[in-house]
Amino acid sequence: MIAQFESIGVRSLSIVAITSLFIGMVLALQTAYSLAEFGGKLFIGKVVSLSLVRELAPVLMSLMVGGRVGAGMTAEIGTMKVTEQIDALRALATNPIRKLVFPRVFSTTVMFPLLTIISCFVGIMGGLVVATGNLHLDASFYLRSVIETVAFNDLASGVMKTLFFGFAIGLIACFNGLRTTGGADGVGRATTMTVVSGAITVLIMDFFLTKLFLLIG
Amino acid sequence: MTSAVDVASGPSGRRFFPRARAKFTGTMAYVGELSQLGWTVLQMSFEGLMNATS
Repeated sequence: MIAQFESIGVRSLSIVAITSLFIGMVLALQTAYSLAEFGGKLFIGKVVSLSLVRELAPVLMSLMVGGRVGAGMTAEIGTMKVTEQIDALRALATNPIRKLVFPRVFSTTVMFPLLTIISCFVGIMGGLVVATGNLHLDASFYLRSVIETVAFNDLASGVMKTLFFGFAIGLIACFNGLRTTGGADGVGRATTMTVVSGAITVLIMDFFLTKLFLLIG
Repeated sequence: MTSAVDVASGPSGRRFFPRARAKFTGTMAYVGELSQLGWTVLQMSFEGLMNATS
């Protein structure tokens, strides 16, 4: 279980940090450009923080980490399936779902929200870099507008979504791994299927979860 | 008069859209099996939680 936490969480930190940093920077630049006529510079902190915390950080982090982690999990379990290691586990009276699937799904469900919090922080810092370095805003002004804008509900809605995303990605990855057939070719097909269906599932779930959380408040 | 819906959903519809039907049936079976696995994992989580708290 600890190994899964490390492989899913700690080893995904770099990909999450790079993605979030540049998304925060691009978001700040685009906001300043598109709202220039209305004095949009002043709203950069609000726009960057709210769009990152509510939507962009959870979804993009899930897509990036889901692709990386899901593909790895499917390839690992799929290879075990085609080399009959899973049948060997069953022959030794070990439940492959308890031994292989549960730790992976649990780890993705726990690690995705934690990675999202890091992603939000790094993205907001990316916005700060552009706001101060490129748009000549005051750092304290930017940070104050971020703190005043982001409420607990915004963060909770973004983070709660990733619980569901993590569960779905882990489940899809393990399921595709367990139903792999046909040798190395089959492992490749199962991995592709995991990345595609994981990404589609995240985007579809995101719409319905956003509606749900807006209804709840 | 035969409508477009009759053609699509009747016996001739099966002839017209066999690939789409097979794809839809396959996707539904995939989602069904995936949900079963998800339910099993959820049950295991609850069992683990109960064991940890008791």
